[in-house]
Amino acid sequence: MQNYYKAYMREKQARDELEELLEEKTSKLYALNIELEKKIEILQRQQVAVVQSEKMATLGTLSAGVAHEINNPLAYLTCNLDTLAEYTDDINEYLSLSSKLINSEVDLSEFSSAIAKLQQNISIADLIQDINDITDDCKEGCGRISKIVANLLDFAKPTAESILEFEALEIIEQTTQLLENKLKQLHVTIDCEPELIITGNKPNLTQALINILVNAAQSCESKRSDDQSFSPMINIRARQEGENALIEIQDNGQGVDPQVINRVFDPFYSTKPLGEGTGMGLAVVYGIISNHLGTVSIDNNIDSGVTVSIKIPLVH
Amino acid sequence: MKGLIFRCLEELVIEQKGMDLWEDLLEQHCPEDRVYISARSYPDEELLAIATSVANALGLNMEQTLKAFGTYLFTFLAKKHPAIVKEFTSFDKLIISIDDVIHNEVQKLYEEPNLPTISATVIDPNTIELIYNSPRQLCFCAEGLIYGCAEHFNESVTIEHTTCTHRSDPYCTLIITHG
Repeated sequence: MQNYYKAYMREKQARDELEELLEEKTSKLYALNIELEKKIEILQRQQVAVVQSEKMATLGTLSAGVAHEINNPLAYLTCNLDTLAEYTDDINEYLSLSSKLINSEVDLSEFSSAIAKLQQNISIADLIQDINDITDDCKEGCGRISKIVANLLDFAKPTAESILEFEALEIIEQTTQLLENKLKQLHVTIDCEPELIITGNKPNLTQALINILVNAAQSCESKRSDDQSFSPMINIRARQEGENALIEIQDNGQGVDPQVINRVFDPFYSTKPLGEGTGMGLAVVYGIISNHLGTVSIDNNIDSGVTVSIKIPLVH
Repeated sequence: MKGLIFRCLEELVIEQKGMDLWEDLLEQHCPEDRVYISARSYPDEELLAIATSVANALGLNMEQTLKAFGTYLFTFLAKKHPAIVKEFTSFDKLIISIDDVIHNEVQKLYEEPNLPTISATVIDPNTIELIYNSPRQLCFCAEGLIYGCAEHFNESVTIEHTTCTHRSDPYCTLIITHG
């Protein structure tokens, strides 16, 4: 019995020692885990800062194009308003004459001869038609400006407020509208299935598409500078693939050297000439898409250019 | 329930009644190959069955057994984790910190998802109101732990159990007078 008790005490001591060791390791692991969580938090904050700074840089790049896009409608708005100002005198004279007739300050023959005189300058029918045309043009111009400003505001919105559900087509259209000026010289097609609902940060996803499209446009422009007969093209397609929305951006530009294509998502890696690229564009795309639980890949096309494929989980 | 509690019960039974009783209890209530390890979880029913048999063997009712076990449990835990107990310089400081400090340390080491919720409020320098709430309803064990803690700090203590889930109250209130 004494021996059994001794054996039990020895086994118990072994359990105690092992548990002490386990607790020591667990405590260390816990402390390391806390440290790791803090580092992840710092990394996430830095990633937000990188995306934000990329966004500001993009805004700077876009500003000239956007200013140009606003200037066009603004030019004909100004012109139309000048014409409207000129018509104001004619309208006033017609109205004042009508008022005199109503108040019997002129008789009908005086009114008729005054109207005939005024009609020599501009007829009432022309005046009505012109004013209608001017109003429609002004409304259309203001609509265009308002859309550009709305897109810019949506893009520049602080990130925390922007987790929404939306259609993939919305960000594709918003991106191409923001880049309208940059994409003018290219043939851009959009083929997007309806109701591809995704959830996420709209400005950040717009940023990702901007970075991809700017790269595609630059690659096409660079190819055209070598070959003036080259006709640049970007195809944007979006469709459902299983549980994901698959967005593909295909260009027919220069493509990427197969030896370095695996490195294009690395931070600070750039294939552009020194001083032209930060090397952060596709790294930011990778970060943004990963944050949306998605994947992004790039492949050279068989003929020319590359296709960037983005997969983002669909909302069920 | 974590193996740590079973290990404490094992030590108590062997110390008080010998190895034979412990072996009998294991044979009666546990699977054949049962060995308790602190960090593992075991069925609550096992603890309840062993505790009921221990109560019978000691000729005590369940309330008295759980209080006695709780008192022993404090000494057992203090021996196993002296650094945690050393953080507290007095009885009331430890009682006030059960939820914030002690349970936090338990979570670190054992990842116990079913810890009781405990909130303690100092009523006056000699009185603490402690609210205990747990689906396990081990409030008598909690009482024993408080007695064990008082012994550790050489304090005399009386506990009034003013509300209790065993009397269909929504939670247990323990009014602790110490000094």
